[in-house]
Amino acid sequence: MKQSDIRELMDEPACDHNKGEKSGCARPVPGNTAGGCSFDGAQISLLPIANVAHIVHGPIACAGNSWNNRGTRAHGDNLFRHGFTTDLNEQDVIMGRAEKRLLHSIKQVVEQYDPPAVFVYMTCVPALEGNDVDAICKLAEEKWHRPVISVDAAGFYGSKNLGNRIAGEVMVDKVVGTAEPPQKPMMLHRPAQPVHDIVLIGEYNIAGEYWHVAPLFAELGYRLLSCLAGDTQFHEIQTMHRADAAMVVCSRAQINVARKLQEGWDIPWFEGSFYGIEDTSKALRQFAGFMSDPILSQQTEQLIQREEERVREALKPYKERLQGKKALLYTGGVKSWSVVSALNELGIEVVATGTKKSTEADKARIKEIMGEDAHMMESGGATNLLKVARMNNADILIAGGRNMYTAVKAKLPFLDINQERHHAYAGYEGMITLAKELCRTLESPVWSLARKAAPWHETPKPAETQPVATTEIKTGAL
Amino acid sequence: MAQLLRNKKPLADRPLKTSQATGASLASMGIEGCIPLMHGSQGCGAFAKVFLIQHFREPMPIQNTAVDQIAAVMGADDNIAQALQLLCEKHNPQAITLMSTGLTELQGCDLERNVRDFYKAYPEFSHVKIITVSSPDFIGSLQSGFAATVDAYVKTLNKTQPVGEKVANQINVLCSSALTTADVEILKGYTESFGLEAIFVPDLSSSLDGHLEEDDFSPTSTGGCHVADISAMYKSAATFVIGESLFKTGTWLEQQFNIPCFKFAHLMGLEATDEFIFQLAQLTQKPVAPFINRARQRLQDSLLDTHFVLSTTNTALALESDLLLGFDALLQEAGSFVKLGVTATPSAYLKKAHAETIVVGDHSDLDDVVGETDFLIGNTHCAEFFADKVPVLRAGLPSHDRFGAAHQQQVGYQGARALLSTLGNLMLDNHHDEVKPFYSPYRFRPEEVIPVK
Repeated sequence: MKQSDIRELMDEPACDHNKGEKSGCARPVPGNTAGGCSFDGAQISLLPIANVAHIVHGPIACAGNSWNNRGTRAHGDNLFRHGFTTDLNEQDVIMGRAEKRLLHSIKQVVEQYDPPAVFVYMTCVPALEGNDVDAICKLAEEKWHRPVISVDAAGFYGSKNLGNRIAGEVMVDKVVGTAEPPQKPMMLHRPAQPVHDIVLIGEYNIAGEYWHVAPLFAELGYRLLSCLAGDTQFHEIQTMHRADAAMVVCSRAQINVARKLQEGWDIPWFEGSFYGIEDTSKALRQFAGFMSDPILSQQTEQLIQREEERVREALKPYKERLQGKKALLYTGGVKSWSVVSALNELGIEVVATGTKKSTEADKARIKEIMGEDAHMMESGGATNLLKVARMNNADILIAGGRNMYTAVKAKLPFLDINQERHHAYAGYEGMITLAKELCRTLESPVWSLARKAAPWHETPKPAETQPVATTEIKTGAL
Repeated sequence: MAQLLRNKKPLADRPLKTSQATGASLASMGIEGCIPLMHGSQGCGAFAKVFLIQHFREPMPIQNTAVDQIAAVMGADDNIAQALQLLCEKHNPQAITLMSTGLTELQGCDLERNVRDFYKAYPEFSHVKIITVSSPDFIGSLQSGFAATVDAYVKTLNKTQPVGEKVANQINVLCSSALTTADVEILKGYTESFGLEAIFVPDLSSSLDGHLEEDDFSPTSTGGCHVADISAMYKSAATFVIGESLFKTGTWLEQQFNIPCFKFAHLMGLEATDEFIFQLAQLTQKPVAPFINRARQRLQDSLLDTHFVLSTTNTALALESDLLLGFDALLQEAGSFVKLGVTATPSAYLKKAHAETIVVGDHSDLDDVVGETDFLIGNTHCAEFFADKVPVLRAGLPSHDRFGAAHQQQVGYQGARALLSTLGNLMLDNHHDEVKPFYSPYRFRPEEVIPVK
C-alpha cells in the first residue's frame, strides 16, 4: 500500500478525531505502544466472516501467535478458526518463493475446503519483499472461479485502528454490492408488511453476545443483511448495500464503512451500543425511527417496556449486592460511557473512566452521566490505573484483558470488558450476566486470602515459650 | 456450619463406604517390611487386595487366614497360628498387621491372645512385631480401619516406654487415609526444611508411590515407616496429627508422654497450611524456608487466577470425612459452594464444614443435587454414575479409572495450587457458551443471493 493511500485512510471525515489536535489513527509511539498492528486490526475485523478461508501470508509469527484466540462465535462453517497461513520460511524469503507458495496455498485451501471466497492478508515480510499479492489473487481468482481478495494491511502501516479501517475499506470496495439479497420476505407477525433490512458494523458477537439481541430484531421484523463482522457469511457481506439503515456498534474503527454506505447507497446510520438497558432500548428506537413504520415504532416501545421490566426485576437481587460498590472503568470509545450507564443501573459508582480512545462527543456523554467533574483518564498504563484505583478506593477494575493481570497482581478484583472475554454482556439479558460476573469476582473470598500476610510474617516471634499442647483444633484448620 | 443428616434408607445404593480391613491393609503398606494379614475368609483378603491393586497399580502382599466352614464353627485360632508361622518363616517380615474382619469379630476372636500364644509357642519369631487391629466390616469404613491400624502401631510399640527426655528436633506426624503418597512427600519437604527428624506414620510416600524396585518380587511392603522409628515416638518433642480420624492417637501420646499435640482436621488450602507452617516455625524457632514462602505466593496467585471460573460454582462431594473436610475448606477459599457433602461415617467435626448439608450416606444421595452442580469430587464410582452429567474430579479411593489419582497433590500450598488448576481445567473443558445461538428466520442462504455481474 502506498503512503498516499495510507494518508487518505487516516483522513476520516466522519471521525471526530479528525478535527481535534489528536488523530484517532495517529502513528504508534516507539517505546510506548499498547495494542496491535494494522494486520491485527484488519484480521480481527474480517475473521468472523465465518465461511471464508482467511490466509495469512507471512512467516509464522503473525498467524501462529494469534490464531483462534478470539471470543467471536458463528454458525455453521467455522473455517475462520483454522489459522491458515503460508508460514514463509527462510528459503521462501531468500529465494523469492513467497508468491509461489501463496498461490499453492490458495489452491490447497480451495481444493480441500471449497470456500465461497478466499481472503489473503499481507504481512510485513512479504510487503517489504515486494510481493505482488494483488496479482496473485487475481490469478487465483481466474483459476478457481471465486473471489480471492487481498487485504493489504501489513503491520508496519500503522495502528490496529488503521487496520480495522483498511479492512472495512476492502469490504466496501471489493465485496459489498457484488450480490443482491433475495426479495424482502413478509414479516412473520405482520403478513402484509415486508421486513426491514438492517446491517451492523463493528459487532463481533463476542461470546455469542449478539445472540442476546438478535431475537429481538427478528421479533420486530428486521432482517439482518449482514453483521461486519460477527456470525456472518461471505454472501451476507455482499448484500450490505441494500440495508435500510446501519448501526455502528461500540467502535469507531469502521466508521468509514458507514460513511461509504451512506455516500454510495444513501444508507442512513447511527452510532449506538448494546451495553446496558438504556442503550439497548435506544438502539432499538433509533432503528425504528429510520423506518417510517408506525406499527414498528409502537411494537418497539412494547418490546422495550416488556424487556426492561423483566430485566430490572431479574437484576434486583444483584443490585442489592452491588449497591455502593465503586468501579474504575478503563475501556475505549463508546464503551467509556455506555458501560458507565450500565454500571449505574446496577448501583455501582464509576469513580473514573478511561477516555484514551473517546471522542469529544463521548466525553460530553460521560459528563452527562457522571457529572461535570467526572474523572476522565487520558492515559492508561498499569501504574496509573492502580494509582487511580487506590486513590478512589475502587472495589473493582473493569477493563480489557491485557489489564487483567495488572489488577490481579495488585489483588484488585477485575472484570474483562473487551474482545477476549468469555461472557456475553450485550442486550437486556447481558446485563444479568454482567451483574453475575461482577458479583462473582467482587464477592470471591480469594481477595482476602491473597492479601493475607503469612502468620510468621505478621507476628514477631516470641522466643521464650515453647508451644503449649492443644487439644482444641486450630482455627486455621477448620 | 453444615447441616448433618443421615441417609436412613435400608438399602445402600452405590455405596461410598468400604471395609475397615481395606483401610487397615492400606495403612500397613506404609510400615516398612510389613505384611497385612486379614483374619477372615479368603474373600475378605481378595476383595481388599483387588481394590488396592487397582487404585495404586501396585502389587499388594495382603495375606489372609482362610477361615473355612470348620474353622468358622469350631474356632479359627489355629488358622492364625498357622498363618503367622508360615509368614514369619517364609518371608521374615519386620511387622505383621493382624486384623479382624466381620466374620471373625462376630466369632468372638481375641487376636491379642492369639499373638501372645504365638510368641510363647515360637519365641524365635519374637523380633517380628505383630500388631493386632480390630477392624470388623460392620463398623466404620476404610478411614476408620486405617486410623485403627495407626493407633494400634503407635500404642503397641510405645505403651511400655518411659516418660522422659525428649529429642528436641524429633516430631511425630500422624497421617490419615486422606493423604496421598504425594501429600506425605509435600509434608516431608516442610518438616525437613525446619531441620526436623519427622516420623511419618504411616509413610505411603516411600512404599506405594509407584516406583520401580531392583527386586522383582516382594512378599512385604517395599518401604514405609520403620517399626523402630514408631517405637521411638514417645521421645518426640511434638505430634502433628493430620486428619480427625487420628486425633485420638495424638491425644494418647500427649497424655501418656506429655508430647504437645497439634491437631489439623486437614491441611488443604491456604489457611490450614499457614497454621501448620506457623506451628513448625514456632516449635523450631527457625525461619520459614524461601521455597515455602514462594509456594505460598504461588497459591495466592493461583487462587486469583482460577477464581474467574471457580468462584460461585456449585459442587457436591462424596468422600470420607477427613478428605471431605479438606476439600470443603479448599473450595470455600476458592469461592465455590459445596451444596452437599456425602460421607461414609459420621464425625462430630463434619458440622464445622462450610457445606450446606452433609449426609452420611451413599452416592444415591447425589442424585437430587447433581443437576444443580458445576462439578463433583468423588471416586471412580462417583464418576461412573455422574460424569456424563457433570465433570467429576477423582479423589478418594478407589480412583482406578485415572492414572496418578493415588499420587495427586492435595495438601500444603503445592497441593492446593495443583487442585485449583485441575478444577479450573475441569471447568474450562466443560465450558458451555452462555448464549444459545440464534438463527433468524429471515436469514438467507448463499444460493439465494443474486450475483451482480
